[in-house]
Amino acid sequence: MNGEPALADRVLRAAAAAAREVAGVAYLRPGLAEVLRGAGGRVARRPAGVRVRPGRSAGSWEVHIELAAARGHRAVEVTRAVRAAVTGAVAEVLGSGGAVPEGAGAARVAVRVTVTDVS
Amino acid sequence: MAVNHGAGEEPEDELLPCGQSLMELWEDPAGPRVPPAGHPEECPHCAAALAELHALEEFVTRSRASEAAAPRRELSVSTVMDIVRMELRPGRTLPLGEPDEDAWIVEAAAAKVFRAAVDALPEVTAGSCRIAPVGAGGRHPAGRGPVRVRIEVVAGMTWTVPRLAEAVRDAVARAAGERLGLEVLAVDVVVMDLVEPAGGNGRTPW
Repeated sequence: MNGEPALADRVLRAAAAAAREVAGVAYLRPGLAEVLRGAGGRVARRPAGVRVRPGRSAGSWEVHIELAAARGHRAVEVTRAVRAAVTGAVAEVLGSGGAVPEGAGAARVAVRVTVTDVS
Repeated sequence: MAVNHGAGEEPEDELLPCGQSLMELWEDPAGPRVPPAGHPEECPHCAAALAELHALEEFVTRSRASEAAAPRRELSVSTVMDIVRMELRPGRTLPLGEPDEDAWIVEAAAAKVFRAAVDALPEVTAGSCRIAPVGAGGRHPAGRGPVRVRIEVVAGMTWTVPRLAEAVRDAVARAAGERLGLEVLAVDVVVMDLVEPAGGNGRTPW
């Protein structure tokens, strides 16, 4: 059981890293609290703009990404590219962790993407 | 025809518990303003809000001083203030893309794109823009389906109201399709005023 928080943390970080690299993502939603924490000079402990939780079925995960889309990119296309990138990255984590059979990871990841700004 | 489905008007400003407008306080922390009736001179709510603003200003200053702090994305004052505004008033969450997609956009972000598209029209300035889902469609999952836009504009005297309304509708529809991927069913254009052009820059005072 105590492996789940560690796995959640890996899923979260993999999802954040994958989303940040997608063309058209200006930044992951910082949240006012994160911005204010940044003002204190400390690095945020967890990546902003990403939430993960175990899904309803065993071994599945739900990921919620909140991001600002960059001008010049169609917002819905950005959300699709982010979903694809995050699904792949999280599936890799699940596959390598032995939590699910190899190759079955993608089917166990549900990704919600919300555009919170266009900048 | 121009019925707003559940698009109840929200207050235009965030008010602190003391009744003071947050944006007014931030925009003019020291200057003269009319405080709400019975507002104390040393107000803890105003002081806390100003402390947050100062923290933000410090953050912006540091970001500017250190390029390394933002290697890929530039953080400017306007970016930070945008973030703050979006945090304060994101508005409704609206569906992006197809009915079976789990993609969304907050109202404030979509409204920003629509206002920019309308502002690009000659001698037109966009004001308040509200966006709401059009009821719960039978073929759409909960919360998904087309939206209705209500946008206020001020324009120069060279426009007639019908031509202005059509141009604004076109601009909003094009932005919704090309820049967002948001299905817009109707655009209600509210012409607040037709005014003489201000100076020679072609912009209309709002």
